[in-house]
Formats: sequence, C-alpha cells, structure tokens
Amino acid sequence: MARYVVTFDTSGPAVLEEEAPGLLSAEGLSTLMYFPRLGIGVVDAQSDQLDLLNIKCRERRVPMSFRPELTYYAITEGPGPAQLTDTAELTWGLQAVEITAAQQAGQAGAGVRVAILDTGFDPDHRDFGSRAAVTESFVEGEDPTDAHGHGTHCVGTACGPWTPAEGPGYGVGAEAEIYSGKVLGADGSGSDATILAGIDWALQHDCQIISMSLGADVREIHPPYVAAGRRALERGSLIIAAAGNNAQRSAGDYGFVGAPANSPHVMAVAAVDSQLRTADFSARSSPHDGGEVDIAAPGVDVHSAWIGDEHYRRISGTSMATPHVSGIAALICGATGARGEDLWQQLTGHASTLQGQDDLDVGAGLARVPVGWAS
Amino acid sequence: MARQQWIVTVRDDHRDQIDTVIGELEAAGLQVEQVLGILGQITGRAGTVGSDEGTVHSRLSAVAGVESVDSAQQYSVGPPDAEIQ
Repeated sequence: MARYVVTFDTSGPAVLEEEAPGLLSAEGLSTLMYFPRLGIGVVDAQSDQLDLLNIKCRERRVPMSFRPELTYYAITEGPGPAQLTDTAELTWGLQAVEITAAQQAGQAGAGVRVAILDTGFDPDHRDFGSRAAVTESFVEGEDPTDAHGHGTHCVGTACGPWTPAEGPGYGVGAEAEIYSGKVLGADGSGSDATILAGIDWALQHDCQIISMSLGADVREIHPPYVAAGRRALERGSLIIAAAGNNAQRSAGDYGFVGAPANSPHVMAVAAVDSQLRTADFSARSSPHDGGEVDIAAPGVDVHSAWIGDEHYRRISGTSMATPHVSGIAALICGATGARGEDLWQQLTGHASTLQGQDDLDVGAGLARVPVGWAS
Repeated sequence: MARQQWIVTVRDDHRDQIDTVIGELEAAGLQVEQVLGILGQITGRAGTVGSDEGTVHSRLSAVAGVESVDSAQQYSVGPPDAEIQ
C-alpha cells in the first residue's frame, strides 16, 4: 500500500460531488480524504487498484490522474521531524496524533465503551469525578481501585480529558465510556486467568475496544489469545496490546513482540518518542504470523493521570503508546460506527508514514485521528 | 507444592456443548475455577508445577471438543517508580 493523490480534472459538480467519490468507493478506496470542491482525493491504495479506477474513469469519460503523495517540509525547518513538546493545552502525544482534528469535528468517543485491562483505576481522581466508570476486579483479594498507578495512567491516555484540572489535555477519547478491569494486582502482575476473565467481561459489556498495556517477554504465540482475539473480533471488539519493552536498541538489541500482542487478531502497538523515532525500548516485529508490530503511537515521556496526591506522572513504555491507539479507535468508532476488523483497517489505513523508520518497528506508522470528519 | 493452572480453549463446534466438555475435563482431573462463556475458555488447576505437567496436558487435551490446553503464563508491568513501564 502507498498513498496517492487522485485528481478528477473536471469542473462538473455532479461528477465532483457524486460520481467521483462513487468511483473511489467502488474500487474499495476511502473517501474520507476526498475534497469535492477540489476534485482531489488522498487515498491509500495498491497501484493496480488505481489502474482499474483509471480504466473505469476512461470508460465514463471522467478525466482522472493519480500520483504518489509527496511529503512537504516547512523550508525554515528543513527535512527531519521537529521535536514536539507538551504545551499548556496539549501533551506532545495528543499533538502527534492530531487530536485537534477530533476537537474541530466535536468527536470525543461519546457512547463508545473502552475496556482498559490493567492494574485498575482511581475513580476519585480529580479529572474523572464527573465521569461514569464501570470497574471490576479479577485479582483475588483486591478491589477494583488502582494501587499501582499504571492502570490510571493508561485510562487517562485512552479516555482522559482534553481540558483537565491542571496542565495539558492528555486524554484521547475524552467522552468514551470507561470500563476498567483490574487484571494485574498492586504488584503489577497477573496471569492468563485474570486477563482472559477481563476480556470475557469486556465482551459481556460489548466494549468495542479492549486496551491491554501488558505483556510477557515470550516469543511463542500463546494459543489462548489466538482464540480470544478471533472471538473478540467476531463480536466486533478489537483487542489492542503493547508490543513490549524488551528492546535496547542503543545496545543493538531490537527485541521481539511478546505475548499477547504477538497473536494474530491482536493489534500490536510500538512506541515512538517526541521526534517520532522508534523508542529505544520498543520491540521489533517477530517473523511469524501475528508477530508484526501493527502500528505506533507516542510512548516516551507521556504525561497522564496518576494515583494519590501526585495526580499526574510522566512515564514511558509501549504501555503508554497502546492507550493512545485505543483512544483513537474510540474516536473512529464514535464517528463512523466502525468496529472489529473494519476498525482495525481504519486505524492502520489512517496511520501516517514515519520517515526514516522501519516497518518492522512501526508497522503502518503513527496512529492518528482521521481528518475530514464533518462536525 | 503449587498446583498447575491451565487454560482450556473449547473448539468452535463444541462451544454450545461447553457443559459437557466441562464435565469431561473434571472427570479428567481438572478442578474448574472459571468458565468464560463468551470466549469459550475454561480455567482451572490440575497436577503439580514441575512434576506431572506432561501427563496432565495429554489427559486434558484428549477430551472431546478441546482445541488447546495451555499452562497459564504470568504477565507484569514495571514497578510504579520505573521510568519505563
């Protein structure tokens, strides 16, 4: 797949507003970035799809041309990614995923149920006092409240506010419904039994998105998650999991995607830093089906909610990248109704290519909010 | 001596007969802990860690309608004070 600019060179409004997007759709191409007033669309496509489109357009006498999309840089900055930084309004991560597109469209994931399976959640956090949250614990002897911090941080990134009590906006799906399942105890550990129970619970509640910032550093696919991922997708629920922090790239170790992210039907998320480079710790794709990194998201120095009087903390990990993707999934689901496999395709289809990064490290590229939603 | 925890995944074509599968797993020695009805998975304990896992795995795997039997893995995130979690 590559990104192309498709131009319909005519001024006829009927062609530009109806026929052209119809032709794109008929070839399975997205019209989310089709601009009818310009007669120009930006699509992710195989070149043979566009050859077919070209033939159909010629048959209908609709003038059409296509070119690979070019990347433009501000001249003063030169090529190469600029360093993003947290501003008073937004964390660098929310800027990177282009949250402003959702803000402008008024899409905040309302009505979408996001399950975060982690160390629990602090429902008394000052930024979540007015938010409804369904919580459950699958850890023996522990209530659903987060006594670690990791779970609250992940809930914060996936579903936290755009305008918190203090500091920059840090949550992606600011109006999504929070389902916090505690599957890791206060010591940060859990087992298949607690995690699978959490997935089953999320499916009972028909959560469209299941976010799992957890993993084990094992290369082998663990069969229970192959079945769980497939059965979740069949019900229209997408499991999004952290690729793993087992790399140390600065020492030449690229690591591997661990379980459960290495299962087919489970989306594996890598971490990038504020210059949009693969994080030093972020695991590389494994060479088996399902072992690929599927997408990347901000995961270094991520500011989000924390338990206790501290309120906020800045930490790093593919755990922090994962809820960025889950939040974007909530926005897409809320705006378009896409679920399951369709939602997976929309997430990867809208990801932006990361210059200079290997597909093995970042998959489809940087997860981002689609542009062009009607408000 | 810790008992081994297992995850049993039921085959698609036996998910509507999960109760029968559970009965046969119990007869094969599994002490059932959870039935995850939507996922079609059962968690439970049988045998002893580091002792008879091979035998127990074979016995549970032989039950009709079982897709896979896997020993439960552990997962963790870093401690709260770690820079990378």
